[in-house]
Amino acid sequence: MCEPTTATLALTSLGLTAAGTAASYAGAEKAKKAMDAAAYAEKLRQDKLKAESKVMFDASLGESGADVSNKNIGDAVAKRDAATDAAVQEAVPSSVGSTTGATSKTVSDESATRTSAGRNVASIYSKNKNPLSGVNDVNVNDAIRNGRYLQDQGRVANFMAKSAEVLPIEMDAAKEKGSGLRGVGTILTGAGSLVGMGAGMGAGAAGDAAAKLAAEKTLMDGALLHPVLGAKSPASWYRMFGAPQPPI
Amino acid sequence: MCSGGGSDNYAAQARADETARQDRIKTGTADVNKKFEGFNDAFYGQRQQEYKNYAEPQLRDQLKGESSSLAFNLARSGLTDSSERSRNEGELQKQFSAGKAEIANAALDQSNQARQRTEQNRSELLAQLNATGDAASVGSQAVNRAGLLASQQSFSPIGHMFSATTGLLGNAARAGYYDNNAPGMNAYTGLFRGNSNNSGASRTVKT
Repeated sequence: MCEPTTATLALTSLGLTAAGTAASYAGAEKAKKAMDAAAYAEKLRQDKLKAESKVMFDASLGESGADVSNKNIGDAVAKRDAATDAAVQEAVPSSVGSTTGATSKTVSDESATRTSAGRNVASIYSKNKNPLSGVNDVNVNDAIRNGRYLQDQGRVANFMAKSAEVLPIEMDAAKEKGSGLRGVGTILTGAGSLVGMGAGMGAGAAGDAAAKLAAEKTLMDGALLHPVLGAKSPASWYRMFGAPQPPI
Repeated sequence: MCSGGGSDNYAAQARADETARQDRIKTGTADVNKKFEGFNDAFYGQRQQEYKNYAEPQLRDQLKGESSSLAFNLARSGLTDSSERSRNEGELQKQFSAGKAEIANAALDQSNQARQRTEQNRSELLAQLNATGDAASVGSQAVNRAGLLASQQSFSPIGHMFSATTGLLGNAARAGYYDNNAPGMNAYTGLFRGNSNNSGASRTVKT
């Protein structure tokens, strides 16, 4: 079994760390995309509801204002006038007889004139009052119309608020997207760090020592002799006894 | 990897619930509006007519009484063929026409009130629907309320619409209050005894 060298360990560490970082990045990107998608989907929903609200407000505004109200008041007064004009036309049948058997023409003409005048006066009274009543009619209709718009706007606002309340839940879920990749990345990065630390703190040195010993064994077993001693001089011997190794 | 599946499902469920709630409210709103679509101009026009049908006969009944009193008072005063008669008939017509116009206006007011009551009911149902999202319950209540609103509601009787402005209009007793020259029912009091109400004024009854 071959022992890893420092270089191998360092390369392995680098590789693991890079793979871990890449996995973490991919995981984070996946989460970010999911969060962006959730936020964008909510934005589309909110935009649609806002548009619906704006359409209603524009319609409500179009049905309000002095010009519209004045026209509506005119219509309401005309409706009241028509109702009261029709009402006042009914003639009261005279139940008064005559002492002479037939009412004189003078009296009946005057009665006709006065009853006609009575109808006219009643009509004038009504026409004087109808503008006031007409304003009330318009107020009633305005209140009903505004109430409906307000309720519809309230419904849209409720939809917007409740829809927005779901978004944080969706964001939490989106954050979890790519968590597997991020987990792998964390493991790989951690492993890379461990290997790197091993390379720096011992495992690499042991490997190097083993490599050096192997080289010295080659010296001992091979043709290289000490020029003075004429014998094999393993470097380790010198090192073992603490003596300086003579130059070869 | 399956991690995050739980919260993902929960979020999807929350969104589905909210979408379903909004759909229920939209459907419920449409149901309520459908139940109330019968409350249209024709319905309120009918309410207006019903009030007139209720109030005008009362006015005519009052008119009959006033006409009889007028004829009686004119005859008693010897003014049957006179300008005073015409003047009183003109006054009676004016008051009758004003009364009818008043009823016509009140009928429109009744129709407005019915419109407001209907709208209030509709609004309450929709508020309930928006708060609960329970379209089924609100739909069934809409049926009940629409039925109640469509049924006839009671009207208050009209008050006395004629006033004795001339002294000859109104009943004989009241005529005496407004016209010192008209004896009213006092003509028949004190026939057999002194009339203490006349503060000592003597009255001769020809026999």
